[in-house]
Amino acid sequence: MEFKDYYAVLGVDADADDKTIKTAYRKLARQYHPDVSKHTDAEEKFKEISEAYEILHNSEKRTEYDQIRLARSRGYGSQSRQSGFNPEQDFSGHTGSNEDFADFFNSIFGSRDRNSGFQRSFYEGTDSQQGRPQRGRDLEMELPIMLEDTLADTPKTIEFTIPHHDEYGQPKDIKKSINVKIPAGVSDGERIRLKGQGVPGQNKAANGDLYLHIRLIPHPLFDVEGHNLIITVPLAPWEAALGAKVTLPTLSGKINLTIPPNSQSGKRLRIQGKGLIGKQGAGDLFATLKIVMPQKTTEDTKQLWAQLATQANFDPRAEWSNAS
Amino acid sequence: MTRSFETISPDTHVSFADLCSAVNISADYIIELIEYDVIIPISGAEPEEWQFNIQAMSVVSKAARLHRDLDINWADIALVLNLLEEINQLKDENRQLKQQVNRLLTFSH
Repeated sequence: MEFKDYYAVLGVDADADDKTIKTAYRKLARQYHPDVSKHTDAEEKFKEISEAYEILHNSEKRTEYDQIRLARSRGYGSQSRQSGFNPEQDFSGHTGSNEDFADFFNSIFGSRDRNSGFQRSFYEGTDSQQGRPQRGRDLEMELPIMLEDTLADTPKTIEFTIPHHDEYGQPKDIKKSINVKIPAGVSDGERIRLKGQGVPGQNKAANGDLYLHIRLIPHPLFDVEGHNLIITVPLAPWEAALGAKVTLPTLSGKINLTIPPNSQSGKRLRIQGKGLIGKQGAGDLFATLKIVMPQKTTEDTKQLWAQLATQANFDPRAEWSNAS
Repeated sequence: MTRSFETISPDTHVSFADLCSAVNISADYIIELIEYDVIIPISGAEPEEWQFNIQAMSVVSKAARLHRDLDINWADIALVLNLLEEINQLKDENRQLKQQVNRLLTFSH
């Protein structure tokens, strides 16, 4: 187990006063709090920072920690004899994994602090306050769903692991597999709750809940905008000019779509009720027209375009000449 | 492996009591969040009748974490949560628009 230099984690000197420690913690916590941070390793960093602060802002724990730290720097600790104590290196070398941190924390302060502060919410605790009923933790997992599956109630089998420790404190995860009816009309980012499917409560307390965080899998054809769907319809220039009938895929089968003559590129046609299911009825499907030029032209077609060019009498940049 | 073969229907609403016990913060704080419109009961006139959508649970958990870890007061939390929500909406919108522009600009034959 690696020694953790909590002073280095907070970036303060070992003789820093309480105010300096508090300021350093707040600054780093705001930077790395997983709810507000953009950093990819925010959660990991925040655990380190919180753990360091939890010890250093409590004078009793700090004294205890300082003694261990001092002993190490004098070479009394078994590990320091092997590796030498180098707080700078420990810090910049990113101090190992969170497990190391949690282990190190426990090695000094045991499990008595397991239920305090961030430890409760961010670590899979042994939660071993003897005898006291304690509600199990909630779990959250992401559930990817196909757009098609949101149109009707859809059964899904969900497999997950509940972090658990047996009565001797040994890790003994519980694997579960349950069938869940995903209600029609769920939307991206929505959470659904499965009551009592989280971490079991201790000493007859209630189980935690399981939250499923719905994520709609991007569709190769349809984009989602609220409860509406958008599909891009490629058209040949003459289809846009003359109008056309197009077979259009929807989430629930194909339909015929009439393209009116003289349709502009980018025009949106609305197909009512063919979107996703919403709380207030179904959304719509919007077909966005996109005019596509053929990549190869023969001499014959080139001549036809040339003929069109002379006869059409059309200036697509008329606005420019008006503006200048 | 523990298996359960029945099909579970998820909850769609939570009561005020559920919210308090799941998030483990005092009812007064939750009422304060309601006063700042951070969460809004979808039905019920009195606290014991209040019902919230499930989303409220994660909003309140986040508020509680910000309060505890960053020492932010409840009024400021309302502001932070609103801004975070707005950022997320803008990110989503940006992602959607990029995707649509991409579909309009790419050509395959």
